[in-house]
Amino acid sequence: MTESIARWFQGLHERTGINLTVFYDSFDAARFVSGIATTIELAFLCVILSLVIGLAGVIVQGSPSRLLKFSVNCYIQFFRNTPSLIQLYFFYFGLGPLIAVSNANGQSVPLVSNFAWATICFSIYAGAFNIEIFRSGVEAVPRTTVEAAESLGYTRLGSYIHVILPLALRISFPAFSNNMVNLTKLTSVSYAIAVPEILYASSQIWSDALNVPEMMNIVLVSYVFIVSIFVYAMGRVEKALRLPGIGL
Amino acid sequence: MTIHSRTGFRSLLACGLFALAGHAMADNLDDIKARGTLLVGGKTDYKPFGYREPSGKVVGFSVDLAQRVADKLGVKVEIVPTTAANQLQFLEQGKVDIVIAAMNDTPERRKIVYMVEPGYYASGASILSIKTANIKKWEDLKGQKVCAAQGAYFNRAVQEKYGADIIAFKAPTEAYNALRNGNCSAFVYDDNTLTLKLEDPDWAGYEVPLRSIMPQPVAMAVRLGEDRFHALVTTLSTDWYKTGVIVQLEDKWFPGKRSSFVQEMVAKYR
Repeated sequence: MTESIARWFQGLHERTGINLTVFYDSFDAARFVSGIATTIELAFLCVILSLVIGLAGVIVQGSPSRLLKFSVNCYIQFFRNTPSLIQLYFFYFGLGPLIAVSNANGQSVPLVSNFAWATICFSIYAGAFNIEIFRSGVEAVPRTTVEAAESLGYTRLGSYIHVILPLALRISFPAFSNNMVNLTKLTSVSYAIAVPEILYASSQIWSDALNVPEMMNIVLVSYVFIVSIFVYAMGRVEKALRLPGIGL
Repeated sequence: MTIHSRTGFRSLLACGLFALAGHAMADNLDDIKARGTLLVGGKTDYKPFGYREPSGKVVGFSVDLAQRVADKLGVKVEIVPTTAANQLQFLEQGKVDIVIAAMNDTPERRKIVYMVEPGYYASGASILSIKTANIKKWEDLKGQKVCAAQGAYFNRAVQEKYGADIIAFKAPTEAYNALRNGNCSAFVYDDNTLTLKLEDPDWAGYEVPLRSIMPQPVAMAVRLGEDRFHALVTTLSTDWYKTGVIVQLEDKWFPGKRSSFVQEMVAKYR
């Protein structure tokens, strides 16, 4: 089966010049599939981490300590107002060499890999946006509801966890979901520091096989496919979280 | 919503088909003369073939040849900076008229452009690594992280044949940086350039320990179908060996070196 598919695509190349090496060259196929896997892995880790950062940030932002609030705001301003490609370069080429250990050859080797830097960088970038998104949700929770929770004896953290955040999350879910779709697409930027995701794998393939237009089409279709599945999953989560009765 | 997404899908499909369709070009030689400028795709970070002087001016072996092609046509020369990953696309799209970018002549590339024979130099792949890494043969690279520049024709072979874990960066500058930062144990690249790097005091402690592999001529390239232009530069390229231009340029850019490729070509065309 796979062999006949491979033969068909090889024939297609000979007949029409359309060279889809990923379907008949096992080496190219392997690196493209591993590219897709890397993209999904990177996106998944970043979504989880940025969600954690967003939740932690919004709780800290609501705290009475002015110093804590100030530091969270600094973090948001810093990472929201700088391009993520620049942040990536900063971490990988600027900060990376400083966090290094010496190996057996006496060469200093960075502790954090390019994949890890990409994960960290995109998570804190999207996390900064998530804090703001969740804050808009928190602010939309009616004041009376918060007061009701307080009068029932909830501590500040308790009311956050049991009353405010569950409502705020639902209110801000569409915006959050948007940000996460952007984050998934943002993973392609890690191409710049040679993280072997889809775009990087494709660039390796088109450098060898010189089939740029074909690979560009494949990359585009792959992203449409991956992001569609992600959007579908987010839609399902949103539905499952629906609270009938209070318009959420 | 359905209607929107459907038109969206169709236009997406159309874009894809256009991209695949390719395009035809008229004779380029008249365009160049009418324009008064020869657009040359060249490297600007590839010593000694094409690099920036401290003043910012692009100079090098390839640049001198580009000037000669332009002189022959009676036009000015303009170097458009390209990389190994985009030089052929620039040529195909008509952003440049000719690529003189220390580009190696390979069978894959011949399918999409006219390579000019004879080539004006030859180069192969070697590695730059820290001396203490103690790399003695290509097989030692197995399982090691090896930096590379995207689009180099030998990257795949080094990965497939020697089992190196290739980390390819957009430009050689980033690969040099990554090697220095310890992100990889070696940088696989053009042997001429790497050997020259050793003269730089910044790279003391590094070596080019392996014999070059996959030597290929370095050639100019023009678009497929540009027969007149191709014939003209082919004649020019042969003359460069006959009249000693390449030998002079080798003396200028590789002082004290006489590559076997150049000797061979001089003997063949003299």
